[in-house]
Amino acid sequence: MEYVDAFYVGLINILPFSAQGQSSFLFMLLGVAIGFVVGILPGLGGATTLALMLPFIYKMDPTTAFAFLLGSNAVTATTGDITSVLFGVPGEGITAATIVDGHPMAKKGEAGRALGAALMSSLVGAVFGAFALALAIPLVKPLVLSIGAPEFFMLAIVGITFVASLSGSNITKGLTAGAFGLALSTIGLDPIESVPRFTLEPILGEGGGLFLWDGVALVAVTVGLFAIPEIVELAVMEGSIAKEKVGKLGGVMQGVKDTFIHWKLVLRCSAIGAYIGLLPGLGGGPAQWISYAHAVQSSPDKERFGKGAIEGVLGPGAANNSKEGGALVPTIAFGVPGSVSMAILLGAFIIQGIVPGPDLLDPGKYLPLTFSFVWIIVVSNIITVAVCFLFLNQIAKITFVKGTYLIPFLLLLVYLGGFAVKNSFGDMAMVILFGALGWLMVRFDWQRPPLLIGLVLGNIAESNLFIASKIYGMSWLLRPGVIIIILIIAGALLYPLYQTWRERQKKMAAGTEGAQSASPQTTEEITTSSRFFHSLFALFFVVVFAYVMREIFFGFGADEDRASLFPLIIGVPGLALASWTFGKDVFTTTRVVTGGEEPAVGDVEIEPVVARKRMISIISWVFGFFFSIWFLGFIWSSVVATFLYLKVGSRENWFMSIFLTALSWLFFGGLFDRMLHLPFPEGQLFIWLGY
Amino acid sequence: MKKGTLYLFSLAVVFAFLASASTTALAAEFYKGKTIRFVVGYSPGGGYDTYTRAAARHIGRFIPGNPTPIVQNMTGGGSLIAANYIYNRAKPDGLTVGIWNGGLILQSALGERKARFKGDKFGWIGAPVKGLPACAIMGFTGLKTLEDVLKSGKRLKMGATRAGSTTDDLPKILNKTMGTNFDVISGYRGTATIRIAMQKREIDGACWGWESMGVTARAMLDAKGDDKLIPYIIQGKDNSPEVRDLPQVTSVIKGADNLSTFNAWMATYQFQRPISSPPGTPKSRLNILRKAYAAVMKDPTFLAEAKKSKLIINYVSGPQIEKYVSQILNTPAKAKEALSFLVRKKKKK
Repeated sequence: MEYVDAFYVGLINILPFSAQGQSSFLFMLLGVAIGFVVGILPGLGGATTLALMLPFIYKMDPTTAFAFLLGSNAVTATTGDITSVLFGVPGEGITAATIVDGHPMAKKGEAGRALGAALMSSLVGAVFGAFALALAIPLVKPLVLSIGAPEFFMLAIVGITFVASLSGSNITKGLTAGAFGLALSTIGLDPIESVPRFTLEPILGEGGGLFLWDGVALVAVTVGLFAIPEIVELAVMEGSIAKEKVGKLGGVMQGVKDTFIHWKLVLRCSAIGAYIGLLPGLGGGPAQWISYAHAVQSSPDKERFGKGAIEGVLGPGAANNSKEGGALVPTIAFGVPGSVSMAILLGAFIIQGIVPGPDLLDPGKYLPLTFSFVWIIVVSNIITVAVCFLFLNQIAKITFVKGTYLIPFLLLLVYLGGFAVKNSFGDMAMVILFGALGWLMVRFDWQRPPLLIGLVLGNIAESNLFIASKIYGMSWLLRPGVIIIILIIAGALLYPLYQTWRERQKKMAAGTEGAQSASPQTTEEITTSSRFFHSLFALFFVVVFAYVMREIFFGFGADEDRASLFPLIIGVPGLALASWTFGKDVFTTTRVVTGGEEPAVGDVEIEPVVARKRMISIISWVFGFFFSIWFLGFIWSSVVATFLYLKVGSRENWFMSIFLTALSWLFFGGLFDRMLHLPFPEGQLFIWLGY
Repeated sequence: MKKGTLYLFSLAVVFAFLASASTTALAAEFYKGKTIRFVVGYSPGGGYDTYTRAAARHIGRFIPGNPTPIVQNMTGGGSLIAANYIYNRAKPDGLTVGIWNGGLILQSALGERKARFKGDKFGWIGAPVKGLPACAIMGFTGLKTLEDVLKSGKRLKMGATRAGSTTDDLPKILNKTMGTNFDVISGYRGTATIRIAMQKREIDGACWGWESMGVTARAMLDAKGDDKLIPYIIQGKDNSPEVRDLPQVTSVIKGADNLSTFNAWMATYQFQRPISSPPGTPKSRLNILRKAYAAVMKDPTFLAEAKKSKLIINYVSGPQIEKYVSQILNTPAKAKEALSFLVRKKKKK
């Protein structure tokens, strides 16, 4: 009964019907507004914003303070999805997985539907996470404490096994990419003895090597892998992001309906998100990717994914929101933050004089406040989604804007997103590097999600495997939690096999009719260039893994057995897989050619000569913007590079060129420099001139 | 003649006074309408960032010309990137200051070549707090005091993040200098996950700063019986009831070499989260910043906010830091030898 009372008081305290409620509600709206903008803009992270908001809560009462902070934090994932879907640029690091299928939908003219689905599933996820938090409160201790290092390691393995199902039509390529991601995760200081691994010091020099000490930043990799290829494609295809017009402008309501059609998937992914959020130490990356992987794995028709499958939007959309509710659990119950945002919220608890732990679960003390958290997450997401729906059809129209108008903004935002990770130039370089890799992966038909799964789970797997074996020896394999997870893995691997088998049975029963409808849509297939380059690209991975092995035996690993153990575990199968892929690519040349499958490039036919010309041009601009930012700094680039691109590059008229340049200057100079004080580096030119 | 000398002398005094007053006035002129950048070597929300933002909010009021302070994060390499930046790249104009891990000075003294700076060349402005490294053990082990720990005979599992952190260094140093029998389990993500691991009884205890332990592990310190976290040794003075009467490391350590080893390590904890300006910053501006920082550390509004945020304030002045830095740079060879495991060196083949 006390719980129910507290639950009710928690709600009343944030609704504008009392003096307390009014103040909370007002600040929640303010927080939501801030979070809304932060979520949409790449390069502005939720955590950084929270840190900036923190000083304002000194004079607030606890409920108001958390309405302000949590309101902001709860919506960044929701609005971050919008940027991901529309532009293929992740609005937040945690909304990258929505790109994989959301952006292809936007290109098919279904931006409205994708946004409707992303927002609705976000809302469902947020509510799910919030109530998971409410329900978890009485059981929170056993829930968190039952997971030890061995179970953490096994959970990471669960994620890694998903790689197989994310690999699309070519499993070896997918596994190679997954191994590559795992190898990437080992770059930097090793998590136990701080041995620098693969820091490429001989190539990059001391400064570059030092930069790699912290490893490869997920945001920079994601932005590069996904955003750069999209920008290149947008320029090559010309026109707008959306290639087709769909009746009733994309069908926002269709997206909402989709959420309920696939309600089981949405709930399952919400549960995955909430559970991952609840485990401290996994961070923001895994929830979205694991739920994306789950969406693919649980679908009988995996071919559609990556080309605009609605489930691929719903899964991560739900998970990246439900995660927030889950992440509050350990913060509240133990004062153990599950993510950077939660660490900052923990600071807010301290400022408010609240000791996380039993007090927050005590009906006589702060339990109503804890339940207010639940309601803040629910109410702020409802408000956000409602506001979005009002404008969604307008927002979706941006996909019909001429692409060349968007490209300078996208390029600047992409580099800003990379830069803002650590306020360093190095991550901008990462963006361009992984941009090139992503572009090649798309061209040669390699799946990108396995790489990211490997990257987000590698470190977790490594350090927990070490802790588990150091504490328990081999006996950790017999822990009940570990055995349960092994069974889950076995089930997850076998279920799709069973499913395909059942599908085949059905199709056999239905005759040829079924077979026709299941024929894959190949509209988004990218031109496959000559087999020579295919093999060359596969050879790149062979070289990478060969380098990994070289480092293990003759580089850092020569003196460091422990630090080189995990890279070795990855390197051996990685080298084998890459060589296998390479061999296959070399020796299957004739078969593919005789197959005679003429690739279709989207719906618009572009002459190869024109396409090549445009491609060379846009790639030069991608590098040009990078160079300009290095040479002139961000602010001047937002003027000079933007204008040059518009006027010289795409020959826009004077009015649009000047208007958009002014807009770009206002946006980057005004918002990011003047208002937010992002520490933009000075342009090299000004350093040389001795300014 | 005598009169003349006196006249000349007083004239000189007046000039000297005018000159010094005018440099101050010029400096005041200088800071007017400018921004001061606080470059923090760690990400937003962490201890370094929190302490810096807390002080930066107020420092503008105490600098003539009321410049606008802004805090920027330049993370990487355990703040090594920020330290190298401040030393080698930042303009020494009194408008850029850095906040990075003072432990790096010890690393450089021990021969870490990635630290591309000389610790005594920075302009030290001050530090908000002294570090209070402490070790604690869980109630379920049945051990309560340092004596229990030393005599337990069991190999105690101490959780740690990674090499180079207090959690990893301190138990290893105690093993070397006091004969404790700790098995250091590294690989945890942070002290937060270490706290969970202790509650799960995966590990028996851990060592880290009391200034953080006293706040973030509060619920565990207040718990009863098996779930209670019990600090049993500390270095430095604090009046909290849990640690007030604990043995100090320096008073129980035996042997002059052991003591000097520990002291060399401990010197970096005497000024935590220090603020430094690039080498070559004009003395007049450094002095303005030092004075302003000292004023913030005594400012009632700042102290009230710090108290609310549970930030322990234990001001260390710039000149004091200079002394500690030179102590670290002059660590005796034997202590260096004993601490050499703190720095990773390529083995010669």
